[in-house]
Amino acid sequence: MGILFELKNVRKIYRMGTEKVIALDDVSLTFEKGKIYCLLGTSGSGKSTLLNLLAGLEKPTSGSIKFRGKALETLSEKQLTLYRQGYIGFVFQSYNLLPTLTALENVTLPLIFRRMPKRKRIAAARKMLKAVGLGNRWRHKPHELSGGQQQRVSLARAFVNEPQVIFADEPTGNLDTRTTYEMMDMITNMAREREQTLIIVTHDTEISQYADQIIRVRDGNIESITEGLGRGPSEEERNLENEKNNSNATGDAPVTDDSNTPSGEYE
Amino acid sequence: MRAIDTLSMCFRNLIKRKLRTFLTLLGVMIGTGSIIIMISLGLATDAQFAQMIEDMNLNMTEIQVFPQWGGMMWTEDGMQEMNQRDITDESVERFMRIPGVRTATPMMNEQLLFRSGPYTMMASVTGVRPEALELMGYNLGYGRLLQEGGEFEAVFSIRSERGFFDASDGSWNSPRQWDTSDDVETLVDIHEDSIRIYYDTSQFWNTRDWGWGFGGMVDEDFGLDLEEDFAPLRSFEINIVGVIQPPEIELRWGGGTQIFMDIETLRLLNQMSDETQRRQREEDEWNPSFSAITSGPRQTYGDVRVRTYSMDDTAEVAEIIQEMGYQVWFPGEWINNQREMQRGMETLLAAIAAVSLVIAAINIANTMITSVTERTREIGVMKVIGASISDVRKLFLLESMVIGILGGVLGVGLALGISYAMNNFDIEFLNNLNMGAPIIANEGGGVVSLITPWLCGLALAVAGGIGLVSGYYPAWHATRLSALAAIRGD
Ligand SMILES: Nc1ncnc2c1ncn2[C@@H]1O[C@H](COP(=O)(O)OP(=O)(O)O)[C@@H](O)[C@H]1O
Ligand SMILES: [Mg+2]
Repeated sequence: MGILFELKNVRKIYRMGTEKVIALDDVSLTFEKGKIYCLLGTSGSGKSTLLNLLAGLEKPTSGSIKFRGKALETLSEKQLTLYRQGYIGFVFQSYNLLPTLTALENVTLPLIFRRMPKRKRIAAARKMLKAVGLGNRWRHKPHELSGGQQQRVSLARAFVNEPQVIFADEPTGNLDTRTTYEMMDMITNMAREREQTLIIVTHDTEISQYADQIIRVRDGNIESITEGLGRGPSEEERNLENEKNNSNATGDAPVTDDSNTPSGEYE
Repeated sequence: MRAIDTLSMCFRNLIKRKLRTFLTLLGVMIGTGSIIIMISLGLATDAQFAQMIEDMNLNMTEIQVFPQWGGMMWTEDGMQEMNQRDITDESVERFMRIPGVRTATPMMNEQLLFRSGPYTMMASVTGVRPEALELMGYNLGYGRLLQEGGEFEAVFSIRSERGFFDASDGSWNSPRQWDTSDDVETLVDIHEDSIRIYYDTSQFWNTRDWGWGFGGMVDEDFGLDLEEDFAPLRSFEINIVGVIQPPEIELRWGGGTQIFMDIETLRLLNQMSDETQRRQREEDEWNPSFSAITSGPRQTYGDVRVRTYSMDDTAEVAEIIQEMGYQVWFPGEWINNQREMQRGMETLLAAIAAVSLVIAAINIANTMITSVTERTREIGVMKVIGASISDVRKLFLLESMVIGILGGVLGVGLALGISYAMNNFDIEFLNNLNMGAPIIANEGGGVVSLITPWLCGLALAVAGGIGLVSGYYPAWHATRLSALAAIRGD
């Protein structure tokens, strides 16, 4: 397997007035093609910062980040735009769909920026929506969809331009347990089917098991790299978890839940 | 991002915020509308002035220059001692050298006696410099204008020959002259018949017994015996080389009878006549021949016409000539004063309207900044999923330009409506606003407000431009927003 990203002594310091925050201290890492990675760590450990650097949204204070041999920190704004258009997909914790656009239009957006002709991009977007199980919801606006459905639209949007790497920053952070597993199953399956690299940020050790490699981040440094299971929990484990949840008080149920939305999403 | 996609996205955003978009459009509409209306008032006034100039047959590029008589004079600055200033050939040359002057020619008028076969005509002949006639702006009907060295040439106007009459019955007037219709049968054919000018005619006039009768001067000897009466007079045949076609309006008022000849010829005729009269007083038998007289003492002129290239120069040229010490008069003077007053009023109104346009621009900028702030996250997301800086900039610039253009379209509609109302209902205060000319125009069925297609086009362009300018900062601000803002603060 080829190397996709190669990080050497990456350091990222934020300046807030006179105060310096070391978000990443000294990170050296490699990411290989077609693997699933998980950046695991507590809040504030620097996971998102690392992801943003990889996505070319920020430049490191020092060190270098190479994507297929090319140093991202040397690219111009224009080249970075092309990099984002052509090679990466991004899934956000809070979905970040454009509220004025329908599900379908949201999915076509990355293709619009790539100047793809209308007919072609609509075909691609519909195929993608079908793949995430929202084949007949394409006309809906984001506010007409549940959280899980919105995240699936966002998934379709990330995958639609056939990127080589998908970044997902706490993609299940706003979802309940059942939807979380569905989402994780979906995203990892899609990445594997398409032989894409997937880098997921999470603070949940259970979710991290979906990865081939778990990279523990702590105070801006890599604490450890371990092998994950490369799959989600088994049927029994999930049932067990469900029982546990049901026996617990249901008061802390997540706000957004697929169950309170119109049916018909699994056709 | 393709232009069509940018446009569709921009319309979506405008429609999403209907109320805000509408209010912003309203501002642009009022701003553009009032500017158009103010300009339309000015255009209407200009049109009325142009109409007035035409109706009164005013020649806006002509300045009449007269000599300045010496002595005490009442001027704008009170009583003043004025130096006498004669107009000589040299002064005419100086007028010609003033920038903006197309030509200048002295002018003199002489009453001359014409005869063709049995018919007679007394006509006023205008003497000009041959080379100046064309530049004076006369329209040639056919033939050609005067040339240098053509002492015996004349240029008629299309109705000049209507002055010929049959004087054998003693009535000394020509009824055809007063007919303003187009087809009047004339007695003389200027192309076929030989026409002579009789000069040095003082003896002729002096020997006849004049009185006043019905219809004008009456020759009390009852009629001319052409052979006998004209025989002693000296004459020459004139060659009519061309005919001037005067403007329609002049014909309507009974004009179109002017005759032009070389001023040098008239001057000689004049001198000879003076000379003869002097001799006659001295009871002397002296018969000068035409060619024997060369130019006498230093010649001065009573009337010089200066023609400028453009009516915009006229006032300035007139002032320069005035400063040289001559008297000037030009029809443009009064008109210019009127127009200047009008312009001042219009400029004031336009300035007020411009303020509303500025407010509209600020309003657009405000709307766009709000829009950018509101969409901070959206912009960030778009950047993360592949929007380029220029995509983001275009999105916002286009949005604000569309607001400008749509507002402009509404403004044009508003202005057309108001303009229609002003032109069709008598609005008293507008007459007070537009002094002078518009009242004439109203009486003559003119318009108070004139909106031309180019004005609409210009207004739209300005509205779009204002949108663009107002959107510039917000768009720039949008491009500067960090993509991270979208991801942080989840
Ligand atoms: N734009 C920023 N300005 C200042 N400090 C920042 C900024 N982004 C992140 N940080 C700081 O860097 C550290 C790492 O943040 P982050 O990468 O978001 O952590 P995680 O995603 O692991 O919770 C935190 O202490 C955070 O406050
Ligand atoms: Mg984070």
